[in-house]
Parts: sequence; structure tokens; C-alpha cells
Amino acid sequence: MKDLNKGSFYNQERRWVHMRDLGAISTKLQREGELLKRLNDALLTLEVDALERISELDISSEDVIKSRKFIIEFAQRLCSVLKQEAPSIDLAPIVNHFKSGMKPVEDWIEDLERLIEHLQNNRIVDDDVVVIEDILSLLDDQFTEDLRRLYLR
Amino acid sequence: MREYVNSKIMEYSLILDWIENEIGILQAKSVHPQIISFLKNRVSDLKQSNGCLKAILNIGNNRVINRTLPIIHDIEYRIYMLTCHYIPGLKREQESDLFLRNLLLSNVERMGLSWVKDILVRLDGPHAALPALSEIPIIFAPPQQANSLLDMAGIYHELGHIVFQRFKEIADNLIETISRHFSERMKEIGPMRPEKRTQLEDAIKDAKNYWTIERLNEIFSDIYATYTCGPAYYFSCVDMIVKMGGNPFNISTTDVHPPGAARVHACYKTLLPAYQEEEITLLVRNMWETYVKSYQRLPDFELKCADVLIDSIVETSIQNIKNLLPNARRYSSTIRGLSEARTLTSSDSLETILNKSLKILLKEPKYYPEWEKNVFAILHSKHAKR
Repeated sequence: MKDLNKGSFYNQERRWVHMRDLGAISTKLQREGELLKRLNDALLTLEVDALERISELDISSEDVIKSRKFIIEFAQRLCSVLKQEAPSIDLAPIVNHFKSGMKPVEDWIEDLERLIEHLQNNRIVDDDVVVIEDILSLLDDQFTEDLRRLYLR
Repeated sequence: MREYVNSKIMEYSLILDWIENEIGILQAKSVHPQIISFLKNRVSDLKQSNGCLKAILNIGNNRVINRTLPIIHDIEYRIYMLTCHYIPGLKREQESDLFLRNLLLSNVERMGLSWVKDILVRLDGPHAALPALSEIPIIFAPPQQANSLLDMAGIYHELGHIVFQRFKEIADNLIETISRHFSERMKEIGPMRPEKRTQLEDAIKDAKNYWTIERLNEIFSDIYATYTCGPAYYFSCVDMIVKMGGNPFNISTTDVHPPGAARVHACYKTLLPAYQEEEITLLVRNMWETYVKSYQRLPDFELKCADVLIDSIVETSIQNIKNLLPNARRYSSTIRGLSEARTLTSSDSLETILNKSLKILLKEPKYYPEWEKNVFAILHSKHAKR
């Protein structure tokens, strides 16, 4: 016969464990979510601008300039973390992934430097978009991994 | 993908209408106008995000459609906050939840949380905080908390999460402290065989990576709680570790909390020197030392949670509290003897009451039930109103 009390105790214990983590996980999610949203919005803006359809998303020319600036600054920060091992909590998942991946870190730095140069000259090519998409995918994976921890409460 | 995004647009449209309707019902009951206003803004932002999904689909470019998934994940997170926490919390709110909410809200200025407009209290779970919307955080506590001071100091730890969430620089400054500490350990490595050196360097890198944002959040929240609540929180932390059992030096890679021994050390170091020598603190310290005597300090603990590192974390955290929360009052009341502890005055802060409670509980427990009853008679008369 199934021990219902045992089951409910187990569930309460599980819930307790996850409740304790709620504050720390939701703060982490908030930080990750903000960076993910800003980078995703910035890339979306540049892509829609390249298609000359910014008005359909209520994007202004000023938004395009701001998005370009945001991606340049983000890529510069990431480069500096990759080169000097400067501490950064927000970029830790990306850096750890780059360092443990097949592609050498030097190649990532080179890609990021090329992306910065292109954006500084108001250009964006397919290879640049792929680099940002790879980074976005890592950030999104990290965000959804933490989101699942909340759902599993 | 296009079909999936289209279905999500419809789903969000329906769920946002439902949320809006629920908020309308709650608004009609005139509860928590600040929270209602924040939630309405939240729904409006969500509708905008849903509109963005529609516009992306209209553009129709496959590459641009790739941008929809992170937007969907963001919407899911924000809807989860509303439908799983705020709306049920508001709908189930009882007099006891409201009492604790009023009690906490009357203390937030002194705790330095000047930005907090309202608090949603849910007396239906263990202590926890949901600080995602830092102006209107949710605090969870067990239901007996409406009539018992026991373990109430734990709520100060939850308030620490709200502070950590509010100021990103706290995490940044703590990570700098951690990096500095481990860089110094690297420099200290003397001459040795290359394989041994690599092994040691890897262990130091691993120790540095142990300090994730969640663990920094937890230890900061302990430090904040001790800063504002004094010995009452120090005891609460010791009690929590002892009652849960296990080796307090054990490092768990799956637990977002640092090991108990590191947390207790951080709390002790946060106490003002006068309290470190005070009778009650010495009593609690003695309890703790008796408990830890039977456990071994593991080498992994020595590397990841060395006393010198925890001391630096305490120093950085206190500096951040002083700089970012200039109105937060460090606990500094003096309760001279038991007769003073048993006497309540109208000027007693919640922290003073909790420290009096600790003194009576540890020194004269037989007086505790009656004393606590009197405390709640006073607190209810002050804070039970809507």
C-alpha cells in the first residue's frame, strides 16, 4: 500500500529545499534576463534596420545607434574578460563555455574584435550576426536552466 | 517556428486578459494600491512584448524570427511571477499575512530599504523571499510567525536578498574581493614540480569558481541580517545549521548556500566587537563550538572558505551596506539584564524585541511563553489594522 504520508513529507521536503533557493535564484534570473533581453533587442534592432523595416517595430534611428553602441561595449567587455581574466559574474557562463569549447579562445577574441571594427564602421555582416547569435544562445541556455529550477519548485 | 510563435501570441493574449481581470477584481477590493499599480505596469510591458512578437512575425524574415525565443522565455518568466506568486498571494491574503506585512513595513526605513513601497507577505511556507520586483517584494514565512517570535530573525536574511537584488554593485564588489583573494593565493605558490603546480593552480581556480552569484547572495544576506539584527540573527544562523545537522564544513556543489561553518563565521565577524564579548553571544558561540568539535575541517573547506576570505567578504559587505544603505541602522542596542529584557517599551524596535526574546529564551525559558504572549498583544494592537 502506498504510504501517502511519506509521499507528502517528501514533497514538503522538496518544496522546502527549493523555497530556500528562491531569493538567490530569482536574483540571478533577473540579472541574466536583463542582459539577455538587452543583447537580443540590440541584435533584433540591427537586423531589422538592415532590412530597412524599423518602423514596423517602432524602432527609431536613435535606437539603432544605441543598439550598435551597446553591442560594441558588450563585445569590448567580453574581449577584456577573455584576455585578462578580469572578473565578471554576468559573463561567466560565456567565458567558461568558450574556455571549455572546441574553438580556441583566441579565435573568439578575433571574431569579437572584427565585430567591433565592423560595427564601429556602421556595418554588420553575416559572420558578425553568427557570433552574437552564439553568445545569445549561451545566455538563453543559462537563463532557461535557472527558470526550470524555479518551475521545479 | 512561425506556427509555434503564433500559438504563443494567442496564449499570451488570453493569459494577459485573465491577469488583467484578476487585477481588476483585486483593485475593486482596494487592497495594496502600490502592488496593483506595479502589476498593471507589468501587464502593460508584457502586452508590448507580445506585440513585438506579432511585429516580428509580420516582418517574416527567418533570421529575425530567431529573436523570438529569448523574448518568449522572458515573457514566461514574468508571467510566472504574476500567476504563481503575486496573484495567488494577493487572493489568499489573510489578517495574519497583513499583520506581518504591516509590522515589516513599519521597520523598512530603519533597515535601509527606503525604495520598498509595499510587501506581500505569504505565511504559507518556510522563510524565503522573491525580490524580483524589489519595490514590492514577496516574503514567505511559516504561518506561526504571526504569533511567534521564534526564528523571526530569519526574515532579516530574506530582506538581505532584496538588498542584493537592488544593488548590482554588491555582487560586482564581492566578486572583486574573491578574485583578489585567489590571485594572492596563486602568487603564494612556491617552487614545485610542474605537475604539482598545475594541480594546485586548478584547485585555486576551482575554489574561485565556487563563489557563484547565488552563494555570494546567501552569504551577503547573512551579513546584512546580522548587521541589522545583531546577536538574534547570529543565534538564528547557528540554530538553523545545528537543527539541520550534517558536517558544517562540507562543501556541496549543488547547494546555493555556502557551508554552515562559513555562514556562522561570517555572522560572528559581522557583530560589533562589543557584542562579540557579550554574555549571550559567548553562550551561542560556546554552543556552536561544542557542535563543530565533532566535525573535521576539510581541506576543500580550508581552500574555498578560509577564515581570511570570509573576513574579507564581511568587510566588503559591511562597506557596501554603509555606502548603499546609509539609513540602515546597525544593531547597537544594549539589553543590560534579564529584568530589562522582560520589560517592553514603546520605543523597542523589532530587532530589540528579537534580542530580548533570545535573552529570555536562553536564560529564563520558563518566562518565555507569557512574555511572548504580551509582546504579540502589543504588536497586534499596533499592526493588525488594514
